[in-house]
Amino acid sequence: MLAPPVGIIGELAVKIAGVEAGEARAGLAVAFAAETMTGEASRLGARVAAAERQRFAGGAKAVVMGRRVASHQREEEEKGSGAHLAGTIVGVRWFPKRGARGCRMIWKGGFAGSMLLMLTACDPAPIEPPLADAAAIARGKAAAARLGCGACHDMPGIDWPKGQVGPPLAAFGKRGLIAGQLPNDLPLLAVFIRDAPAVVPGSTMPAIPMTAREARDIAAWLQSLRD
Amino acid sequence: MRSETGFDPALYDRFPTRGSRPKGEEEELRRIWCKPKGWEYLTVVNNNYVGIYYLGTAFLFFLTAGVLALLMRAQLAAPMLEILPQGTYNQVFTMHGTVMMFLFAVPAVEAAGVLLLPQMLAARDLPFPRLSAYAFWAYAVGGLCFFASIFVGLAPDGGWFMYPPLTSKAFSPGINTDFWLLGIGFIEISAIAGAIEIIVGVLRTRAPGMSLDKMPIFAWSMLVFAVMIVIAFPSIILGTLLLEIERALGWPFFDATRGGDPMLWQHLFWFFGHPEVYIIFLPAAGMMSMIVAAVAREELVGYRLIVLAMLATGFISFGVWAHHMFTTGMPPMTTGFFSAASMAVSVPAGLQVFSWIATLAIGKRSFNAPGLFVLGSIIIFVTGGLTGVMVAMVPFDWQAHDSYFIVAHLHYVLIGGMVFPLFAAFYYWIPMVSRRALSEPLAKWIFGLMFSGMNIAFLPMHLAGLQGMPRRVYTYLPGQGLELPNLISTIGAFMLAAGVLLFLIDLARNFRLAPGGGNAGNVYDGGTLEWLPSELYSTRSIPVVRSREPLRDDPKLVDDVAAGRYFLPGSATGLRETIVTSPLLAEPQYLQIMPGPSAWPFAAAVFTAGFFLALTVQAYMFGWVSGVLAVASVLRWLWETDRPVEQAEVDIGAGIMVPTYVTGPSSHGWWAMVILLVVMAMIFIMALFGLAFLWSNQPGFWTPPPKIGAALPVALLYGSALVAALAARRLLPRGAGGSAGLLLLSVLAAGVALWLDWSNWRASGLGPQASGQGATIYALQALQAFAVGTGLLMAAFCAARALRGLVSLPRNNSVDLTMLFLAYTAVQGLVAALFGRAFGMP
Amino acid sequence: MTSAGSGWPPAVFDPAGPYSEPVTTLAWALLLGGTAVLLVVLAALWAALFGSAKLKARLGGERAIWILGFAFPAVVLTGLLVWGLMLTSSLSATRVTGQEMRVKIIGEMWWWRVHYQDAEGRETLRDANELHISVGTPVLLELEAADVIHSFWVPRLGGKMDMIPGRTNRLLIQADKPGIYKGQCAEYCGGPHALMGFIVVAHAPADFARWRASRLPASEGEGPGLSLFLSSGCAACHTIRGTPANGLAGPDLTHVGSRHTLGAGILPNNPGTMTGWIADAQAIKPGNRMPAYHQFTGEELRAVSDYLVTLK
Repeated sequence: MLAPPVGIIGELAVKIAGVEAGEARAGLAVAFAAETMTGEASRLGARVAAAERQRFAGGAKAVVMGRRVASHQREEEEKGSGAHLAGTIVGVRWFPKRGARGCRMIWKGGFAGSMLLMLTACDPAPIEPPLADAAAIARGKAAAARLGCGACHDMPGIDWPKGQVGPPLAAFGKRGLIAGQLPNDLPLLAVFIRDAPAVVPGSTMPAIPMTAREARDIAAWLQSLRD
Repeated sequence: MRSETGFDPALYDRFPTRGSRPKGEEEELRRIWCKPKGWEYLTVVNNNYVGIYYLGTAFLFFLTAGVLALLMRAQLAAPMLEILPQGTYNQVFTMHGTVMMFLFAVPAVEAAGVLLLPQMLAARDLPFPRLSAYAFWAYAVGGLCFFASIFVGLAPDGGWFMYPPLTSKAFSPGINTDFWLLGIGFIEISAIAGAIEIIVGVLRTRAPGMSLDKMPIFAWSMLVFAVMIVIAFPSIILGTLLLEIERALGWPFFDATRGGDPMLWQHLFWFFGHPEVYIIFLPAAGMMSMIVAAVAREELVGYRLIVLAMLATGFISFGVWAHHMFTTGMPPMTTGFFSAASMAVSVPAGLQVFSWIATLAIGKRSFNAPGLFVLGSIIIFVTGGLTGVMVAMVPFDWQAHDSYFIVAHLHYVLIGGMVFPLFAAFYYWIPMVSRRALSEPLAKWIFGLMFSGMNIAFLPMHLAGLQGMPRRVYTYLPGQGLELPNLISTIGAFMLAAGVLLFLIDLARNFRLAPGGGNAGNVYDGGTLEWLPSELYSTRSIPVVRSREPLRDDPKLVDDVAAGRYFLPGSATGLRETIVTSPLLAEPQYLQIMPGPSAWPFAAAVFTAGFFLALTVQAYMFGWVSGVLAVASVLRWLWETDRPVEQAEVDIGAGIMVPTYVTGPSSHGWWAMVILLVVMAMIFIMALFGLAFLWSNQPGFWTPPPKIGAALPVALLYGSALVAALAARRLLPRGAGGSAGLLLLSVLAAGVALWLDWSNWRASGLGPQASGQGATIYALQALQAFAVGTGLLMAAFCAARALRGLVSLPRNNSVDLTMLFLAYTAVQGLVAALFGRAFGMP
Repeated sequence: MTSAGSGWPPAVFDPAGPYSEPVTTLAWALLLGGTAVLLVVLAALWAALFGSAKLKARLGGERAIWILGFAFPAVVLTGLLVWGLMLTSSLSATRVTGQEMRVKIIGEMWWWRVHYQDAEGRETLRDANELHISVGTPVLLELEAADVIHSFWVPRLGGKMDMIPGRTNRLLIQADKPGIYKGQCAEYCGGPHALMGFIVVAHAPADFARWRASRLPASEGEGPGLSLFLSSGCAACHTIRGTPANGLAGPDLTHVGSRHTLGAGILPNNPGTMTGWIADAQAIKPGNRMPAYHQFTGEELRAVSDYLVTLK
């Protein structure tokens, strides 16, 4: 596969962090491969996808701008191994997150970004699958908590329960396969969540009563888990 | 007022004396009350040192328990966190409460008493310096070992109130609970010892002329405090003893399936637990009264009202304990009574608050460090008192009980009623014991952080409780609206901690220990006697007191005292001394010879701690050895006591002569023994209550007792034990040997009586593990055995003294005290024998 | 405990029945009265520090102390006491008329047995962790404890009452509006005390009758799930009426599929959570008495879970 051209580097600056259900975020989608970064409510990582090997990319380095959020729950460290690019996006507005978690978004800017832009000129960005909108992701996380998915799964950003019956769902968005059998794409994931035995016969995960919309939202959230 | 001892008050007019004192008199005093060096810091008995040690240790526990609180708040900042897993949190909250209540609050106010009272009363030391050293070391060693249990995961986890059946062996099989039960043992001993000291000290070692209504308010509050300890602590002593016996030996006091009752624990615990909080509050209120007067630069308004209020609070507080049990299903009449009493107890507290406001009103406005903490205390304490009235209403308590509303209430009253006054006291009195005073500017920051932090931490808890958040939960589920109040509380807690940290920094920078002399002086211009210039021997001479604030009313007092123009300007016998005075009018009665440094209290304390701790970890051999060594150390310590000096009478100043050795009901030893016997009697009465309670609540498990007629020989034997003991004192003038013999005979009679009583019960088929009745009957026997055993040691001690010719004739304190103890033992045994057979007679 | 309740208004101020409403009124009075008194004290303090000389002189006299510190509190407290005594008496479970629905609830570590009774106190139905009542009918709860002291508390319906081994305590509650009312154990009982919740479901009378009718029949299910249930030891602790399972150590599962929650009020009840709970209850509620069932294969787990889900 060909690496996408360098120019993709102009990136999207809207990093949605810590969005609760229904929180609107105004953001500017800029440049080409707009990549909406989402993280769980409790943390906003500056996404430095260092040496990310995607199934489509061949050694491309995704350079992304992000905002750093200090979170008292943060488990993963953002060790910026890659470059943080300063945003030159203007007019990006974001609202401080409401809610008890107290995450903050800090806009990291700097001219170093432009320099690094050039450095990374040789790294093509991977083609990321399009991600769902932020509201759906927020709804999905809330639904997962409300339905008690934690009874079997350890999910990032949901402190309890952290069931060990099923596999942990951290970084689910990076997984190639669902339950080791189905390709990990959004519509299929939604179907699986709602009625796993129908698409993966013999699955221990049962059909769980929920609306199709809830299933889609949860799928959107899971797919957004990239760390 | 007429003299109570025959002392002629006109003799006071001889003071201040004229002329200069002999050379070397003061140096002699300094030599007798010398500074410790090296290892002597462990054997010191002078209250100037013991008081500082005590206060420092109590403050250390405050800090450690505060850190535990910060851990708890961190865990509760958001739902379902795992900062402290469930089991750890349960240990942490239990330790927080236990350490704060038992290892900080009561010892801190007791320490303040040890440090301040002799100075305030112009006595050279407390009446039993070795006893206070023992009490301190037992508390320090025991408390530190107890606290260390949390580092090895063995801390108790049943809540500070340790309700069975959760804390019975079945549901708490580990030794965590035993740590609590036996660990609290030290504190109990320490508190009782301190109480004895303080009662005798306040009532018998005041400066001549300091009648009761001229006594500093703090002394009144410590008197009430100590009497309350004597009445209330025995309940918890018995309770912890019974629970430990239930766990170790299976005697079912609290096991409902075998005729015990969990409610018995609750009654025993709260009969202690409620007065406990007033035990903590009243001395702090006493300190407040003194500081308010000093800060306002006025004499305290409503002195008599405040004294009455404290007496009323102390008394009424014994009638409110069941308000902790409103949700246990008591009938409406019972809850109504306790509700009324709980509301009544708030009235005297209100009187005190308005007296303080009145004093502030007529005085000068001052926002110095003590002044700020006084204001903060009033505001916070009143808030807590108001929520207290709210929960005194039974239907409201049915919602608020065991929820965070109560957590809010208790912290408001304790922090407002004790912690803030303590900090005010630190600022006010540290100049008395430190070369430098603390920093005023920093104090404003500290106050600001502590006051706002405290309110931010605890105000939202009212809301959380009313939203339905129960107490003692290691976490809470999301979506109940509890996130915001908890997060705010956590932030406030850390602010409060920041204030305390700043205080620690200030202490480190400015506190330079000066236990005698060289201190920073009367910075806040107090008018009471602790501000006289003093060294390790307290003041150079003991003044005649003619008013409540002698320093204010007599500008020459300071110089006169320092020049030795009052009582006891030197040492009359070449030993450490203080004057014992009469309880009401403080007329000089005799000279008490006081001990110097001694290693035996320290040894006894270490071995006592060893005994309890070894039993906890089930190292029984080590424990018993340690116990024997503790007893041996105590006996060795006592061997040095009761040594009359060669001078029968001495001149204590201006030609006034008093004896140096007094026996009988005026002797301070007699008073101490009587107080100890009151403690024992209270333990015994609570055990009798236990029997009556189980009889009325678990009638199905009751078996008929042996016939009362069988108790006749028992009664006769106890009667003769009583007679023998009384005779021993009566017949002492005829010879020490005979007296000692009679004492031993008394013990023998009591011992045989006990054995007969016990066999009678055994023969009736009732065993201690059979039922609650059995357990309680044999518990009464065990108490009696303890008394007889102690009596045996005392009688043997007297016999040994007689053999060595150390028993003074015609009267001797050791014999007197032994007589008192044995007489009590005989009566206790008799009552036990009759009472046990009276319950459940068909 | 499981679904979103915002916590506002606070439960104690959001009463839903005649045993909680009067307490809310009292609570308001106490709150407002207490605030007023606090303001008076603050005003007095302010006046003492910053007031005019005349005001200060007044405050500084013993008269002020007696009036503010004794007379005023004595009057107010007496009035409050009378109110409190009357209210206590009227809420007390000594006032039973015989028209109440009777239920015995037994506190266990860390769940609740619910035994419905008829008017004579004979047991009619067993359930766990959930109480269904009819709107407008008073309910007389007989509260007992099987092991340690627990406390039953559903703040919107009434105050709390402890469950003490060796005693039976009584509590009256009543809901006047249909809905779900959450409660929680309010006496520290060790371990996961924080996760010992409870649900009261109040139905309109007709719905309640229907619910009762649906409860009485025993289970009719069978299949691989049931046989696994029986052979894996589940029956040692759990009862499913109509099957050989009659264990008493754990909750009755005859109608577990229709419960609102699992784990005593802490998890929503759906096939997923049912599976997770069976497989590893310890991960969800550490320390509780149900062991983890790691020995099930995925298929077995599904079978048992599917079976229990059908027990509606």
